[in-house]
Amino acid sequence: MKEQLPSPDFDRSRYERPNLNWECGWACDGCPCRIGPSPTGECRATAECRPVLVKNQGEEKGRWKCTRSKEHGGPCTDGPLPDGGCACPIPKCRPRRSLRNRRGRLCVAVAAITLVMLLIGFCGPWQWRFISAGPVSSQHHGVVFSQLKHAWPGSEGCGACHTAAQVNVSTERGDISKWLRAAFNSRPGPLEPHRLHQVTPGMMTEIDNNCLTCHSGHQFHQPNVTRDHSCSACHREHQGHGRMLPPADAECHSCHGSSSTMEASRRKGEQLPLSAFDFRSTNGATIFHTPRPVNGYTAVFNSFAENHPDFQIHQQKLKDPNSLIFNHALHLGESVNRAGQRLSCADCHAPDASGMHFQPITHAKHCQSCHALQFDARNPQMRIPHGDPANVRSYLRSLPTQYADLARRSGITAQADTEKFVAEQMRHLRERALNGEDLERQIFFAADPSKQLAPGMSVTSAGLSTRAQFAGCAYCHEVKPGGADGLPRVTPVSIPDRWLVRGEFNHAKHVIVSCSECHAAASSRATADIILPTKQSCTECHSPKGGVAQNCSTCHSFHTARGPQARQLIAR
Amino acid sequence: MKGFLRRRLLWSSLLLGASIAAVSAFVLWASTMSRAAFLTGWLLFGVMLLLTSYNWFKKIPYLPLGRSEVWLEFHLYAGVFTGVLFLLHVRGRWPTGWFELVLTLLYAVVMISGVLGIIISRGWPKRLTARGGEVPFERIPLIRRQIREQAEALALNSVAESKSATIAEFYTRRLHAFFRSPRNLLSHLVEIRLPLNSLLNDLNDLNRFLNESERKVAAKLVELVRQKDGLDYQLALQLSLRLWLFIHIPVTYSLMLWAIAHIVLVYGFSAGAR
Repeated sequence: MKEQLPSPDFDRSRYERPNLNWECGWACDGCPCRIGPSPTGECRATAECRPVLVKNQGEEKGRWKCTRSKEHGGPCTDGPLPDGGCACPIPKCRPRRSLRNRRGRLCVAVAAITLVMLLIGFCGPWQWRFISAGPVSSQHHGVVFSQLKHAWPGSEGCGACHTAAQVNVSTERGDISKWLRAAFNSRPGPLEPHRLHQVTPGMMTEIDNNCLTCHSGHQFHQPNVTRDHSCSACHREHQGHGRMLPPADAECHSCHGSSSTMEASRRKGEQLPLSAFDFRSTNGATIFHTPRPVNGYTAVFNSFAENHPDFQIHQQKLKDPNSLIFNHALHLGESVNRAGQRLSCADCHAPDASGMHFQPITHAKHCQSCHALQFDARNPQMRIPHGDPANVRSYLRSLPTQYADLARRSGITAQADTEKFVAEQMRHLRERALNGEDLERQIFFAADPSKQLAPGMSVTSAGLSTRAQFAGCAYCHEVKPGGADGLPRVTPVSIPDRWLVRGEFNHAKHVIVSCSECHAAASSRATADIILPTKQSCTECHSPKGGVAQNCSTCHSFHTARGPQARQLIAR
Repeated sequence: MKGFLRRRLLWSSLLLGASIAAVSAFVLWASTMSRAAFLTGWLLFGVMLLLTSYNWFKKIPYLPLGRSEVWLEFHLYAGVFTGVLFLLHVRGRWPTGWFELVLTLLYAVVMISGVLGIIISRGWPKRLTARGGEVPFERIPLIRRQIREQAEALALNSVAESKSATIAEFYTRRLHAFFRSPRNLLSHLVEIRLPLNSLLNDLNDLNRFLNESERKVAAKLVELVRQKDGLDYQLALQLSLRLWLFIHIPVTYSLMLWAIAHIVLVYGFSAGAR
């Protein structure tokens, strides 16, 4: 242990009062005067003592006597001056402020500097940048918004949302008094913090109303919502550059997690006609219409992984009403191949330009290469047109002309040879069909591949088919008699472009997952099967366990585009 | 000591309880409450106001506001609690606007200076006691003068007594500046004794050139050097015990003014939005 230093010896009877504002200027030299400075900081030092006049009995003039205290050396040797003044004057000092006083002055100075900085910031040319809570998102910072800023001169666009930022036109500056008025006019105001808990979550505010001046046409969610929800509660601005952050789940759960709110929505929904809910603009796309559940979409939940309802398609075991007869399992099986390769999903389902969804399936693009409509086994070049049954009939009725055309294309130019060729082909056809009507009936209604009209189904040495059979239109389509002019009625094919219209799904973001992991196409044999994944399939990844986001905004959008602006909004 | 430990346990429990309650309430209700940021903000401002008023409570001792010791303990633990409230208020997000950035920095300065103040207030007195030579701060110049006068007298007298100016020259060259004013304050703060040892080594080296009487003077000078060094140590630590408040208190007032402006801006511009 180190040796402690002894405390130095000093006079403990005297001490300085640290709470005084001034101290003797000689204090730092270790020799402060006894009197000390005045309260206003003036040196009061005069002399080391104040001599007193001592008069002995009988003396008229008396003698001046030194009164210097013992601790200061006692009476001085020189003694007082003849006029009674002290012979040892104390040199004047420049009193210093005490530490405490200097600290107090520093506090005042710092407070004053702060006030000046605030005033400069609030009234200066950079007032909007100074008070801004941060950069606004790219949505409110683009070219269009820059043009709109001219509507709010001087406020750099702040006045678009903040009423308090609407500037004085003459000065083009913000007015602090206006800010104060806005602050104290807000409800609850700054002096009413005790009323904060009474504020309804998601209540519309002045800022939200300002949103609607630009964002008109944005309807609030479903028609059966019980009240409008604050824009700014979900869309947080001033969070930095870049896109605005997606709304927090809590905002959705504030209603969808509340049984009372959902019950109120259910009751309101009951009073509305079903047509009120048929508001979605298809924007040209074919969408799969799901019937509205009895209670609407008012199930109470607060987590996708845990209690979010299963997709309605699976919940209600909905079926694909498409009339096309299609067997996914067959097409993905071994019996179907192209160029020796089994078909894959991507052979038919090609992504669109954005990669989010897929291009529509068409016969010409996706079916024709295998399902060529070759009705004549001897002349595979002869193909009936796909589409309108009337065109098929016209084609069949013009078969002699079609065969003559084929003859010319085959190099037969002489008229006699052409007629002979046509007669030969027509004779062969009559061996299959009694007459033209019979041939037309076979082509429209035949659905049995074993009674093929075309030669396509040839079996290779590998035992695999190279071409599909063309049995007849009814092989793929629903063909019924009773159409106009005795034509059959072919039920139009309707393949939805979008199945889950209440949620958004981006296939491009899921390319790391194989199709079969979500879509059970390999086991689907009926057209009616809707082979969309179940919620459980999604939650394998989109759950806390899976580690992928399961936010509401990942799939859903709160707003619904309705009315005349709907198309414009969707396009935007 | 037991009482101190008991009080520390009590205050720590209160701090822990308040922090857990605040965080739990925030986690439970922040998502469903519309104005959670307003509430945490008001709570934070209220606690900061109480903390600021501690300086004023000390100035009005005639009011029955309880013991200053209790207020100091409240000040320390409530100060830490504001850290929890601050993080809840800003939701752990670093501010992106100039105004809020300055507000955050002011808070950070007050908080850091406060924590440093606690460390200094708790640690320095132990160091001062361990080193010894304790003396009231206000008397340090007086004692320094006394030591300097003694040293000067020794140096001057040595010339006449030993008929040699070696010590006087050494004093002029090496010791005069040392005794004249406070020295090596930073070294004392970080407990570095290199300057003292260097000076003592020089004095030790000087001994080779001194006669017997001069060596006695040199030994006395060594003693005075040690006393002066101890005095500087006292000054350095006692001064830092006072100077940290030169940052903490003024910046606190600046923070409070900035916070009031923040409240006005928030109410004026949010129009009720959170």
